[in-house]
Amino acid sequence: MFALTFALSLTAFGQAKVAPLPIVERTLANGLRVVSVRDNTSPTVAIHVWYNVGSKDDPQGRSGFAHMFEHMMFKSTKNMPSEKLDRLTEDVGGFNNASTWDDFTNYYEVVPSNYLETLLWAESDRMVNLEVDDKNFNSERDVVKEEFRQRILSNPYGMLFGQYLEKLSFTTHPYQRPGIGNLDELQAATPKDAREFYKTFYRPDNAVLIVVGDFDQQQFDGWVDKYFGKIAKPAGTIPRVTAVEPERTEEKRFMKTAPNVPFPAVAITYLAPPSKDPDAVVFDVVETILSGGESSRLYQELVYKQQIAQEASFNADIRVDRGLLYFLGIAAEGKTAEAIEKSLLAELAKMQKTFVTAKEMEKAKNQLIMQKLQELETNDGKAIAVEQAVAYDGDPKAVNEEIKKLQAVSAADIQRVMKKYFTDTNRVVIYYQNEGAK
Amino acid sequence: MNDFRKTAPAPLAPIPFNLPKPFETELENGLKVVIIEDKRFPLVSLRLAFFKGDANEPKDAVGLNSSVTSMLSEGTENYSSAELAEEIERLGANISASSSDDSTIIAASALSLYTSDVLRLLSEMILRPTFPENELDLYRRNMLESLKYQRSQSSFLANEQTARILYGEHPYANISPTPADIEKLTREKLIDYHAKNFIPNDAIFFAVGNVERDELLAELNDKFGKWEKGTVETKEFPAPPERTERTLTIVDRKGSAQSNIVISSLGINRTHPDNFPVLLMNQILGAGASSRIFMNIREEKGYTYGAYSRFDTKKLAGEFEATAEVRNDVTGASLKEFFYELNRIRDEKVSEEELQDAKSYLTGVFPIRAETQEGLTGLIVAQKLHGLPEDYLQTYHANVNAVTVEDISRVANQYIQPAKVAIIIVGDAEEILEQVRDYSEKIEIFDTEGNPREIEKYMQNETAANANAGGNWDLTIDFQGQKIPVSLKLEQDNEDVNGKLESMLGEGKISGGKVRGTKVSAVAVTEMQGQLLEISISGNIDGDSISGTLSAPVIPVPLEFTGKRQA
Repeated sequence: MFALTFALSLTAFGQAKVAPLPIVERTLANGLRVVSVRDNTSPTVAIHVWYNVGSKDDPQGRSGFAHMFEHMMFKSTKNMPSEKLDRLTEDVGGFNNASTWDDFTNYYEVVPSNYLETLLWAESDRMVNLEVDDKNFNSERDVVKEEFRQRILSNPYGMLFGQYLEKLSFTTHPYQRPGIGNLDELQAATPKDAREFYKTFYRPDNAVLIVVGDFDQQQFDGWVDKYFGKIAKPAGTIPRVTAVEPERTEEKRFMKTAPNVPFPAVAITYLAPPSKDPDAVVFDVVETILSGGESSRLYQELVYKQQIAQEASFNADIRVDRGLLYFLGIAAEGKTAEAIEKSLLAELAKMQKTFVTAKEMEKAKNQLIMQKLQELETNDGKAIAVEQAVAYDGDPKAVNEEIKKLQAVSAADIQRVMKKYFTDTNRVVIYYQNEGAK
Repeated sequence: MNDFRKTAPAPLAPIPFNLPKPFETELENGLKVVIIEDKRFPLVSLRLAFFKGDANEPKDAVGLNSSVTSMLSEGTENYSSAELAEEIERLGANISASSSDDSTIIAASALSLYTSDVLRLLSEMILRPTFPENELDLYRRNMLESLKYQRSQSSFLANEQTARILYGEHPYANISPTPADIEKLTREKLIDYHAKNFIPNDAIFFAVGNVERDELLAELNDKFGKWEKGTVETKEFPAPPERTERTLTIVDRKGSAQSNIVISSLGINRTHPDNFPVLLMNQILGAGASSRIFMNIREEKGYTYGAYSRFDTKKLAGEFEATAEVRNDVTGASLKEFFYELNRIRDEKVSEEELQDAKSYLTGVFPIRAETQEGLTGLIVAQKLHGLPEDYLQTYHANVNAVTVEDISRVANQYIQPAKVAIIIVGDAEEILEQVRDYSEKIEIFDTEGNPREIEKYMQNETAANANAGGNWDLTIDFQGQKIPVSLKLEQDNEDVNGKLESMLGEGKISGGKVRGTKVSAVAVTEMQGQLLEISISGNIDGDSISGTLSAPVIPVPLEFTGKRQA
C-alpha cells in the first residue's frame, strides 16, 4: 500500500501549480518604482515601501546605523506626530512594522482596503518630511542599545550568531559588520548622522512602493501621483557597496569564548553564491533535507542517533552579494565541538558522494512548496514575496518563477553544488565555548 | 501648495466583504458536509468537527473526551504512531486534533493534490484508532506532569475557581481533569467512549480550497461512507446558579509577587440576540489596547502590563470576565479602578466617537482574519458548530454597524452587575486580604490545591510587631532529596526589605520586599539565558531561624527551604 501511494504522489508532484500574480509596474518621473498587484478576493490591502539601503550601507564607524535609523522612521514628521502609523493601522483592525536586512529595509502596513489612500499619504510623508529631533534620537538610541544587550550580551550564544559568525567569515565585504552593530559605534551616532543618512538613502529613486490587494487601478495610480509623484528627485548619486569578497584559499580556524556558555558550539562557514546565481535555489532544498524537521539528516544523525548535539543545522544565508552557507552545532552534555565538527563534515561528505534519495527530495519539496503557497495566501504574504524578488532578483516578476525553479531542482544538482561550494580549503571553523574552559 | 499633506485623507466607504456561499449536503450515514471551492491556491483546509466536546463527558470521567482526541494520532489499525507522523511529514501536511467544552475538531491542511492521502490518514485516525497500551501509558505520564505544572500557574488557579463558582453543577465548571481522573483512564474506557461518541450523524466535515465538489464527495463516500451511524444522546445539564450578591474568593499562593484578579459573572451564550451590542460594548470597555480598562489601569495608573475584559460565549451559557495581573501592593487600588469602569459604562452613555472607533476596529479586523483558507475555515466552522444564522458572516458588517449608543447602555446595565460579580484573586492572601476585604461581605480562601482555609489565620499577623529580617541567612533547599545551599542577604528598614539572593540560578537583586509580622516576602530578579527571571521568596521568621518557599515560573512546584541567620 505504501509503495503504490508513493509512486502516485511522485507523479502528482509536478501538478502543484499556482496562477501567476498579475504584476503591474511603472516608474514615476522622480525615479520611484511602483509595483501593484490587484486581488479583490478580500477587502484588505498590504502596502510595502522597500528602500535599497541595508546594514551593508552602515556609514564607516557607525555599525548598526541602518537598523537604528529604521526606528526613527516611526517618529514625527512635519505632518504626523510620533507613532501616528500605529494609530492609522491598529485602530482600524490592521497592523504595521518594519525590518532592516543586510541588503535592504522595508516598512509595511496591512489595513482594510478603504484606508489605502490614508496609508499612501502617511508613507509618502515619511519618505520626504521626517524630522529627526535630538530627544527622539537619543531615546531611540537607548532602545537599540537595550536591544543589543538583550539579543547579544544576555544570550549565551549571542556573540557567536550575532557577531563572530559574520566578523570572522568575511574579510573584505561590509557584510562583516553585524547589522545590530556594537555598543561603542551605536553610542557614537548623532542626530546629524541620521539627517545625513535620511538625505542620502531615503529618496524616491532608491525606493519601490509595493501594493497588493483590493483597489481600483486608476484611483490607485492617481493617489500615487498625488502623494509620491510630487516628491522632487534629489540631485547627487546614491553610494553603493562595490567591495567584492575574495574567494577563500585556505582553511581558517578560530576559538572564541564568552561568559555563561553552557555547552560548546561549532560553526563551519563557506561562501554562498549571490542571490541571482541559479545555484542559489538548490540550497533551499539542501537546507530542508539537512535540517528541516525531526526526520532531517542532521537531526537524525547528530541529535537522535549519535546524541552528540542538542542542535545541529545547515543554513543557507543567501544575500545580494556572496552570503554564507554554514553548519552549526551545539554540543550535548559532556560532548565536544570536535566531535560535532567531525560528524557535520561526515554528513557533508555523504551529500558529495551519494545522491539524496527520491523520498527525501519529495519530502523536502513538499514542505517547501507548502510553505511558499501558504505565504502567498495573504495580500501581505504576496507583497513580501514580490519584495524579496525585487531585492534578490532585481525583478518583481521573478516571484512567479519560484515554485517552478524549486520543482526543477534534481538530485544531481544537489551533488554538483555540494562539491562546488564546499572544500577542505575554503572553510572557516569557529569554536565557541565558556570563558575559562580548558 | 502642499496642503494635502497637512491632514490624513478620509477613508473611502467600507467595501462589503462577500464570502463565498458554501455547498452543503449530507452522506447517507448522517455526516454533514460543507464545501467551499476556492481555486486560488493548490491548497486545501479540512476539518472534521463533532458537535460534542468535553462537556459531554460522564460526570465520573472528566478528561475522557480530550484524552480520546489526543490519542487519535497515537496508533491506528494500519499505522503506528511513528508511521503516521512520518507519513504526514512526507506530504508536507499538518494534522492536529483538539477539544473544547462544546466541540471536538480534527484539522488538516495540505497541498490539494494530496487531498486523497490526507483523507485516508484522517479516516484512519477517526474511524480506526487502537489506543495502544504503551502509548496510553506515555500519555498518562505526560498529562500528570502537565497537570502538576499548570497548578503552579496563577492563571490556571484563577480560571479553575472562576468556572467552579459561576457554573456550579454544570459541566462547564470543570476546566481540567485531576490526576485521579487521569489515573482512572483505561484503554477499554477510551475504546467505549470513542465508539459511542465519534459517530458520523453527530459530526460535520468541512473542506475549503482547491477541490472539485463531485470528486471530493466520491472520496468522502469511499473513506467515510461505511462509518456506522450511532445514537446521538442529548444530555440535560443543571442550570448554572443564579448570582444574588458580590463574593470574594482568594486563592492563597504564598510568595506571589502579583495578584491575578478576575471579576466575573454569567454573560450570554453564542446565539443570544444581544451578541452584537455586547461585542461593541466590550470593545469599548476592555477588549483591546485602546479600550477603557487598558487605558486606565495600564496606561494611566501603570499597575499592570495588561488589563482587559471579555465575554466568553459558549453554546449553552457564557461568562463575562475583567482581568489583570497587578503588583501586590496595588491589588486594592486596581479593584477600585475596575469597579469605576464597570459602573461608568452602565451609568454614562458612551460617546459617538468611541462607538465609531469600536465599529471601525471590529469591521476592519474581520476580513484580515478571513484572508487565509485556514482563517476562513475557522469562521465557517464556528458558525456551523454554534448554530449561528446562515447569513451570519455575510451580515456581520451590517450587524456591527447597526448598534447604537442606547444599545450599549442597555446591555451594559443588563450584563454588567457590579453588585453581583464574583471576585477571584490568586495571590499572597496575607499581603492582599486587608486591601480587598471591603469589596465583599462573603469571603472565602483556598490553598492552591483547592482546600478551604480559615480566614482568621490570615488576619493574626496584622497586629503583631514586625520581626527582624535583616542579616545574612544561610538557607538550604530540599530539592528531591538533594540539599542545595542558597545565600540570602537582607537589609531592613521598618517593613521594607532589600538585598540579594545567591543561588544556582545566579545572583538576584531584591528590592521592594516586605516584612509583616513574622512573615517576609520578596522578589529576587535574576537573569538566566537572556531572560529576566523572578524568584519569589516567602519566609516565616522565628528568632534566628527561617523557613519558607522559593518559587519561579520555571519551577513546577515551590521549593521548600529552612535556614539560619549568621551570627
